[in-house]
Amino acid sequence: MGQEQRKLNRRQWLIGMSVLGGVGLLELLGGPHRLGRRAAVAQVASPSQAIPFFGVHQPGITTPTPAEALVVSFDVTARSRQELRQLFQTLTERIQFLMAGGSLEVRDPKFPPSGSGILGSPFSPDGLTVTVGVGASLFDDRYGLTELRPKRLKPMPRFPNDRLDPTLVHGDLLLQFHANHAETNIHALRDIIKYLSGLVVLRWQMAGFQQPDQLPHPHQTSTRNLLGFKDGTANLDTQDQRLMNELVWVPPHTDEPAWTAGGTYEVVRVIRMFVEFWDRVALEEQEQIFGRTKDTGVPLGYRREEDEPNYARDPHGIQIPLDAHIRLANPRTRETAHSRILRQGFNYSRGFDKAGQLDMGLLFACYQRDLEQGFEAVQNRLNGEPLEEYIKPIGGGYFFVLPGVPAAGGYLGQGLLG
Amino acid sequence: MGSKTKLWIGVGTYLIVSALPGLAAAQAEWTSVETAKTPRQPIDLAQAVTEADLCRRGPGGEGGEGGEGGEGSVMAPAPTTLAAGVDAAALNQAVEQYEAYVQAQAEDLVQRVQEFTGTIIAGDLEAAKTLYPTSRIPWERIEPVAERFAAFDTSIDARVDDFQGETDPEFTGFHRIELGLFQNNSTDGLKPFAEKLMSDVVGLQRCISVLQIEPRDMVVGAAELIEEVAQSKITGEEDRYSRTDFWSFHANVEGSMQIVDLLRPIVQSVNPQLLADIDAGFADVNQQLDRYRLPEGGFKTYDQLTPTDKQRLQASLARLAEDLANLRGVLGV
Ligand code: HEM
Repeated sequence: MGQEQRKLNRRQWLIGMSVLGGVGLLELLGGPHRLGRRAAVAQVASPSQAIPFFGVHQPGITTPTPAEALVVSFDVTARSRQELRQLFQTLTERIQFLMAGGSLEVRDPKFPPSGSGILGSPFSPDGLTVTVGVGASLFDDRYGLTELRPKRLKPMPRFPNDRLDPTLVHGDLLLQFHANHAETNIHALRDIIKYLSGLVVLRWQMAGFQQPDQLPHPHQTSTRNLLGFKDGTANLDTQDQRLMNELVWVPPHTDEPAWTAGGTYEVVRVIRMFVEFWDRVALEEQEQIFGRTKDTGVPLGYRREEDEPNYARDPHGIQIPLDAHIRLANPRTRETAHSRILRQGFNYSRGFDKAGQLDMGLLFACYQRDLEQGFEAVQNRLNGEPLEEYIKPIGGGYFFVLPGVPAAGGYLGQGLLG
Repeated sequence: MGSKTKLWIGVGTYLIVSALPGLAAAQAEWTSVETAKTPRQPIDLAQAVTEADLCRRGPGGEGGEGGEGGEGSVMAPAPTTLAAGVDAAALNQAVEQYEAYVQAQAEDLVQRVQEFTGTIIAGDLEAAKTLYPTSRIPWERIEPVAERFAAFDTSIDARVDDFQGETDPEFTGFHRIELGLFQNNSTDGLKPFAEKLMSDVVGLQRCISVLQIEPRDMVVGAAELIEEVAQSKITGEEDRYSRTDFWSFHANVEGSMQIVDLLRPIVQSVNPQLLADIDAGFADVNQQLDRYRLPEGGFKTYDQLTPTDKQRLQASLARLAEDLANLRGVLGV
């Protein structure tokens, strides 16, 4: 299905939903109005869309999330610090090239072509971002980087509901590809693997997809996860610079090594869902588990999706149960305000398991300037939540997303290796 | 498997072309003009036809695999222009030396397999186990060439995964015998497989003895040997019952190094950097293999390969494969 086609269906469906959902007249009237504006406001997936590479922060975090994601973890096999630097320099060059789009170098036909050619040449940027993170293991004794390890970086621990697959966790280097089309991510991955041969080996990878958010309001979303709920409604507004600086980006002059400023801690969680089981759960129970309605994403007892639940006025969980996912994840108190995290969710689906049940779930990522205050605080509150019966974290890792490359001539990781 | 069929057609083509006088003349002209390659000693036409038949249909007799090669596909290889600075005479010489190497390996294979299968027929389990990894070495060294004879490849070296299972009667060759010796720990019932393996390697050797190798196939073969290691030897699926994978692994590397060695002066003259990179790559792989050598010769079992060393090998092989993939373009073959 072409992108235009998909968008069209999406819009028709949104209108349909408003009607079927039986929401208020205002909402109905607001529908077409918003649809009209949306064309201008929403980040439309255009094949020629190039996202700038240079900046204080890497792209792919606060930039809008497109339809396709590919998360790939590597182990680094560079044999020296020198080779490690070469790795990051080459990686920077390739990412810059791939994100800008362009023509593949033409070679004598007796040589292998300079790229896979799966997008043809010239190829368009297609909204590609490649975001680079490093794992705690990169700071072991191999490259003399132990002193420079981001202070809060450590291997992802096991949480109570986890059943981690050893072939799906950790890694020295994490590349996160986002683009409008899966082929664009694969094109970039194959290019990078070719140019980094000898320096890295694959450790694990996971592909994800989503229907990009078509709603302009920061606290409304059209994106859904594979449990059928709107996902991302109450997420942090990535356009709010102050909020991003407060919660996401590591600021300069902290107890962290100086080179980390402008970076962020990333948590990746591969979370399997038991969807057959879930699809046999009463709607009422499903909604109680999350604390929002399934159809419209409205907090239980509220009117609009963007409404902020006031838990102080519902101390016994009459409206929104005390153990509802959204209530545990963000109790919305002064004390928990600094535990807010920036989430990115993609769906994954990869066949079925030995029990003959569908193997799909959520490829979850979140960003924060402090792992303990952010993800771990949230996850610890969520431990034991009713949702756990229907989900199982099976993989992922903790990574530090390198600061961006401010201008041409620099490279990713320069502060660390330069 | 596409590439195998294609290469196989190449071989069949040569033989058929040689057997047809008009085309043979045309081809002789082409070879002298385009690649200045001196045709090998003339082949007795009658014999060529029988060999063509055997080499095409393979050990199975009737029809068999790879029939797509058919008589109709009489087609000369595309003309080629060597890269500037590549001396055609030197290249021809390298190819001829490689042909001699391949033939010597094929003959060595016959000898080693004769000894190996002899121990099986004699029911000497321990001797057979000892000879299993060494009997395969010449095969692995010239694998890309031997594999062109698709039917022989299947009957000599296919793994159980290519069949319905361990009891599939089509499952023959080295790995069927390996299964008996190392998993069932016995020579019982292996005699027919031993005899078949012997007759297959003899057949293969006959086919190889009339084979003319094109420069391109030789050059690409260096890369193919490393691709083979990177794709399936590294996983330890090759010699899964005996765990002697390192022997096969190493023999593939040797075969690839042999090609590079024969091309050395030519590559040195046109792209010394590439040659240096390739040499460094081989040194790197060999250095890692050396860590698994036994003082008395041979290698440790493959299950002793540590995850870290496996990753290192994976990385080195990928790098080496990238470099070897440029050899063809650098020479212009
Ligand atoms: C398969 C697993 C998960 C599913 C299906 C899921 C689903 C949802 C849904 C439907 C919402 C409400 C809509 C929204 O605001 O986005 C939500 C909110 C949220 N989730 Fe999850 N989630 C999952 C895992 C996690 C994990 C692992 C974390 C972090 C440890 C997390 C943290 C949050 C947070 C912070 C919110 C926003 C709460 C708010 O501010 O009101 N979720 N999730």
